[in-house]
Amino acid sequence: MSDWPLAAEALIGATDAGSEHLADVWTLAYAAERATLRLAAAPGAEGEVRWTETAVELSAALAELERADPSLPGVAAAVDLGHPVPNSGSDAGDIVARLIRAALADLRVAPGGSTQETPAVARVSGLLSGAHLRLTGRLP
Amino acid sequence: MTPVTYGELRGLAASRIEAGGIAIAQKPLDSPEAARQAVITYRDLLAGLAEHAAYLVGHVPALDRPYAVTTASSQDLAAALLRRLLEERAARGTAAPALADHPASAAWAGAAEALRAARDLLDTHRDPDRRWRTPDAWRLDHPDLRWQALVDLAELVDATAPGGRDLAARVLEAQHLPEPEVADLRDPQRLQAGASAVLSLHRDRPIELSAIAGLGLAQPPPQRADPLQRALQAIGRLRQRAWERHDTPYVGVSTLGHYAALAVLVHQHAAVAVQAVGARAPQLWPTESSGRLPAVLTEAASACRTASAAWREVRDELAGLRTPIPLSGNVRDDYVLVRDGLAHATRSRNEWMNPDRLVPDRAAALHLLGALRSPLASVSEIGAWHRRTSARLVLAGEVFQPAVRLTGDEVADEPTLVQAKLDRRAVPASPAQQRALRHGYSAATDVSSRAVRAYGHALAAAAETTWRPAAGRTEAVQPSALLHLPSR
Repeated sequence: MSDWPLAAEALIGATDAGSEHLADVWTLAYAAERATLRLAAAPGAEGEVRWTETAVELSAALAELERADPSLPGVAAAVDLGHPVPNSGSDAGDIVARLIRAALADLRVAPGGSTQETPAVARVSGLLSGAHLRLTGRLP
Repeated sequence: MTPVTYGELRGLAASRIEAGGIAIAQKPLDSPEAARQAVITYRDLLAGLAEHAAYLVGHVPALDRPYAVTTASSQDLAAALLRRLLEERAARGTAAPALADHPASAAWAGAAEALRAARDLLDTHRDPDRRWRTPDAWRLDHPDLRWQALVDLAELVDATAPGGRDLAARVLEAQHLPEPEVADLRDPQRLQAGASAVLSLHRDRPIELSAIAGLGLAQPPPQRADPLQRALQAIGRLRQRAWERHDTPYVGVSTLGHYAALAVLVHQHAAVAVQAVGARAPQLWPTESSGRLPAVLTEAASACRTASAAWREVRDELAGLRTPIPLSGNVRDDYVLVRDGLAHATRSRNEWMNPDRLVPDRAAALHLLGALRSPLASVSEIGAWHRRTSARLVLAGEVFQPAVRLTGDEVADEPTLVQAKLDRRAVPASPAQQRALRHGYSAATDVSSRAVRAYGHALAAAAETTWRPAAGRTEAVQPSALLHLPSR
């Protein structure tokens, strides 16, 4: 068990200050993906489709980021929030949604990227928004 | 409209052959032109049958001399004989039939067209070298299934032959054409004997319904905007793509991850569907509540949930791994279509519909269960192919993990790993990860095929219960409720 809200806050704060923006986006998306995978595996989540659906969008976003910059999985911080606290389904969803929104915010403030990066950023942005939509039912 | 299958085209040809035979028996030929045209279209139909037989038999060199001593089986010889008899009578080098003005000409031309379309449909499953290009193409080369198709064709020949006799009689009675032009058609018995040769060798072996008759186009054309139909088509494309690529170096873990997630979702939906039908069973089949239906539905739901959990573990394993091969855009697009189609059929606003709404009546229950059967079977098949794909990727050393994520314990005794971690390089997947992936796939494919079987039993039990009218009640759902399935 770990304190997800606290860990997520710390993560969002830390990535906010970063200058390596794609790496920060990767870190947040990765943390969100791990979290949704854990939530999908949590007891009582058998009938829940949205964790799996969200995880797929996030993993597609990660794949897109890694295609733009193959060194990302090595250089970016890989953070796992750990096991969720039981019976915290809706709160846990909120936390993941916040991570996704933070990743999107980092993506948006990116200073004019290189020519390869710009289309990738657009695709990642679409996938992250999609993840938020799968998770919460609305766009960020 | 459902995608057309081989069986349907053959049925169309059969009904046109029948119509042609009736028309020539009822209506005289008015003019020499009409007679000439009727003869040309009839011979063209025989050519169509011959081409079809040739296609089904394939090219067996020994069969070019069917009367010589060969090692070919009696079945092959019978098929070759039939083909030769047809070719002897078929049109050769004639122009394409013009506008047919006798109803028999129109019917025969239509039958020939349907037969050629049916052959072309089968051919979409092969590449130019007759190799298999779809996961279903093996049926065309399976001796029993191929023979079954030849037997069905022989029945068409048998039905076509009397039409030639009547045609010859009509031509001769009006003296439209000289006798030699139709002499070979006057006696249908040789052609019928050729057909009987094939029919008599038919071993009455039960052939699976999904044999060649069930084959559809390899690439069904785009359908209308019903999300569930589009999802079923997308599943078909995913299956095709997975089969085409599972032995190639173009599949990476992110693509495998999408397929695994798809398996999770499909099994979850199947579990919810059988569960909903189970919950509604007392209302839908009031007289059957004590029968075996509730038990098979419960069993199917639990098998599907187990399979979904097993695929989730595969998915988790894959999420931690990387390959240099990017995610396939086509797989991603079709995954989205399937996901949205399933959601459209079963959920409203991210929540499962309650059973009353999901299965309002028996027809809806059968429709829903029937619709999910093909995705379920497909993800299970795909899983078995990907089990091999993943094993090959691991063996080839193409699966990596970022060394930076290795824990202290994992690198403790391995100086190279320590260095890799410091240099933030990628290292091959650890033996533990490889094992987990292998076990994950093997467990998932096992429980997945069990889920497919249990689901099939549940569907069969629901269908059987529905079509057997209860005492005093005649209301029954038409079997066609199950036939909307895409070509499989």
